[in-house]
Amino acid sequence: MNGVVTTLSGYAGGSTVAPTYRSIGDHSETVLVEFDPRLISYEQLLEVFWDSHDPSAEPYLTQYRNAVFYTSEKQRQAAEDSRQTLQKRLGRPVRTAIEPAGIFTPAEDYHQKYYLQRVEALMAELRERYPELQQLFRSTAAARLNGYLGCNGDPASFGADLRSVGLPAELERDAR
Amino acid sequence: MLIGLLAMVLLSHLNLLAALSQAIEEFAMTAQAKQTTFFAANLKPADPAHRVALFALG
Repeated sequence: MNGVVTTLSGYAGGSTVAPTYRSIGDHSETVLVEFDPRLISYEQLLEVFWDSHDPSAEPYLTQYRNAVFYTSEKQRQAAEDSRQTLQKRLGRPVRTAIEPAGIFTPAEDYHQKYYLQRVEALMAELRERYPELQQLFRSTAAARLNGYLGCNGDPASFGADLRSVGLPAELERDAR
Repeated sequence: MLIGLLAMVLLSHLNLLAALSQAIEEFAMTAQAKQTTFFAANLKPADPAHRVALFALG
């Protein structure tokens, strides 16, 4: 999505110190999205979020629950408003939680950019540009590629998107 | 007697291996904890004009 700068998988919503996948404690698996509000609004991100899960589902594990963790009062208001609108439209209770964001802990490396890490040619290309793995995981290029590999985004704009994040359009072949 | 001796030697080796394996695992966990602690407070966006959103998707 244009305007999304960085994505990171991690853990949030709980109080356990330094959670890991094997000892996640009371945290939930969470994605952090850094975005440029001049290009994409929080409301647009919320729309994608609501479309990406069943909001009336009962959480069966804290690890896998659905939640919005807001980072400002403005985000809280937007999240509450969108939940109310959705609830009216669905005509049934929305169980997705809306809570203040606490500490976000990035997940282990093997959880980051899951799809991308499975395409060696793309990883090799990115490693040349981002020798530090943490830089790579936080790059817009990696976020964009991972999104496409996860079958999101418009395939028609893939080549142009690659160039916009400084990657050669020939990589399109490796990604397909 | 020889079998008993061999068993003792083998057992001590196994204990050593188990201790070594545990030490390696503890070291890896400490390294992981250090890494996660380092990133734990990193909610600040790279650009002050950017914002951060957090979503949990079960």
